[in-house]
Amino acid sequence: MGENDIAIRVEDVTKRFRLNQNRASYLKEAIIHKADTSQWREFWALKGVSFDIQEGSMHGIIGHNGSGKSTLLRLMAGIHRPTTGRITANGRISALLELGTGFHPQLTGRENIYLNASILGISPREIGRRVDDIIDFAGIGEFIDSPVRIYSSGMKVRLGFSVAVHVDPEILLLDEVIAVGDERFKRRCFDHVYQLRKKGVTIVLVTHSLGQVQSMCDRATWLEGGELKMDGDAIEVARAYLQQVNNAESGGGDDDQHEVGLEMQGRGERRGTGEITIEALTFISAHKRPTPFVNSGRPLVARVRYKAAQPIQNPTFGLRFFTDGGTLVAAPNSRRARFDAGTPDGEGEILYKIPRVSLTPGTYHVTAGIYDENNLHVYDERQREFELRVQPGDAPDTEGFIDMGGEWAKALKKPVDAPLDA
Amino acid sequence: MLTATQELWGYRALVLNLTNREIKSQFKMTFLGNLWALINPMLTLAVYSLVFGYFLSFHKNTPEAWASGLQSFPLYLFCALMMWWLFNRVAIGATAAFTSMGSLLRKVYFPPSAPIVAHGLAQVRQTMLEGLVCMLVMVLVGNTPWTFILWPLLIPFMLAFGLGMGMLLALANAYYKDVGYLTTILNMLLFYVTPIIYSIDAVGDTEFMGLPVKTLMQLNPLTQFVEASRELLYLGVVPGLWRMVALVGISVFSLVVGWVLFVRYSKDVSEVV
Repeated sequence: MGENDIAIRVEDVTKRFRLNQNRASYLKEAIIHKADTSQWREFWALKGVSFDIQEGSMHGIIGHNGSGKSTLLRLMAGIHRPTTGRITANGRISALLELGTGFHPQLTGRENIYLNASILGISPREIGRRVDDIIDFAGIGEFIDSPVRIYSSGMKVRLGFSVAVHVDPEILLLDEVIAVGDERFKRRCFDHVYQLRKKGVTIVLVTHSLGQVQSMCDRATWLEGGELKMDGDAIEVARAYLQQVNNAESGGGDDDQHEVGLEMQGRGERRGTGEITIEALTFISAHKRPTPFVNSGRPLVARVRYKAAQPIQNPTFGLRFFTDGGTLVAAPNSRRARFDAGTPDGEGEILYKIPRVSLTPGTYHVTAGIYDENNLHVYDERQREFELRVQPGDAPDTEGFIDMGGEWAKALKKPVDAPLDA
Repeated sequence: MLTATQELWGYRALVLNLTNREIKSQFKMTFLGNLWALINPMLTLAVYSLVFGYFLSFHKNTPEAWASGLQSFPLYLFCALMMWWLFNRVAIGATAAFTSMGSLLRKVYFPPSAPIVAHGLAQVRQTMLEGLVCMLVMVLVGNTPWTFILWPLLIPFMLAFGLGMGMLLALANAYYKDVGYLTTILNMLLFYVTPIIYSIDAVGDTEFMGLPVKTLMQLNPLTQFVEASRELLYLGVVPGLWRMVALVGISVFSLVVGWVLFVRYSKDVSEVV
């Protein structure tokens, strides 16, 4: 990999913050403590982090709260300086770090667009050409000529995002902001991020959502306590992170659960750009017949019939199974499984083979979708249009969502503290 | 320092934008709008003239203007006040301008000097306006020396002087909040030790700790500005060579020193503002 392929290079970066900076803001204390700087409580937000971000890639940064990910992003954006080490960026950076980044409350939305653009180094003439696009994308309507202080937080995010992506960044830094806002805007954001990616923009995303990292990012960096824990392929990093979280016995899936809750809203909706469409989703039981019914514990094949108007390179196929109550119970996805769908053109079928249906009896609503290879862009998504009825079968469990398929056994004569598999 | 200067130049669109914003938002949401730009100084001038000129009879010691026989304390005072106000708004106002952009500085990168410079530039308009009003009144009372045309030249020098001081004050205040309080007090003292409401000749041969007060006052850069303003507008005299050298020297010195120190110590300022 050549030097030119690097968008941002992070070299042995440390960052120290002085915690009592505020208290020492009075001269008296500064003079008293002058001789004894060890009194200043220090906090190392980053302790020697090195990694590269490839040009044109989408790079996720994950870690617990306080792991240093936001600090790292601020250093990349040039807001703070590294205490030691170096960050070199190769291209114009646009950053969206917090809600309503850099808006002046007294000025109108339009004035703030100009202010923001000039901060990002865009000439007034240049921004004049794009201001309508920005306003249009943000969907602020007539409020654009009202002071920003009366905007809702959602409006501020939309305007901030809109400015950040319309200033032709070569590198875009995003700090979880797009997780805020309503579902419709979120989709448009992701669609826009997809457009930017296609243009070769490098995107760095700090996020809590492992789902986002796994489904959208190429590579990921995992920070822990200001140190680099892992850097590499996004799916692997996310998997390792999840495993560690699970091991730590904390409720690891919380964020994903949260995401599910949001996705609940669009029942029966169909969306996508339609380059490739889902013609049908059928379930085939053990008897090799299409059926809306299946017995719990038996094998099942889900068959997705598609039709591509043009050759699509390695699309992602996804299924999502929801209960009647709207809880997502399973979401198989061909990208995460690293399945290569080839380059579909015309009509065809993709199968998802389930050796043993572990869903408990009940009715399930199924979403089928086809996305681009980075899972960012939606070609076609039919939300909960399909139904799967699971009937009692060989599996004994009828309560809960799934049959875990475990076996009951008596313990050894003497109780042992060893793990189960010992 | 050179790269920082180039950087600020690269961000000139931002500086101009902030300047425009400042000018536009100055009297926003007020009933009288831009009229305040005139009402403010006129009221202050009226009160000072009444108290010092009339009650305390300062007008008796007011020097005679260029037009023979004209002796006006309010005009004499106004020539000095314009300079004082400009200094105040640029240098003392820098701190507030800097702090108000602090939250932005924590979210986006831009040269931290930009809001200070923009705030300074935005003040020029007000002083130009005051100067125009002053000249108009002078014409009405028949005091029309040709030196009027030189007066606007004082503004860029005062701007440079004020910006240098303002950058230091704003930066110091970001690290130590005491500076803000201290400035308020010192500013008030400065007003009285500068010959604004009185003529420098009024102090006569008074000595302070064995030193002639008049000489000490001459060392105050503001005295030079105030005196030059009076000479050009009221007395109709071109300032002496020594005064001109002093004005240029002190302005450049203040700007350069302020800028160098600001550049050096503002690198981590986004962590404290």
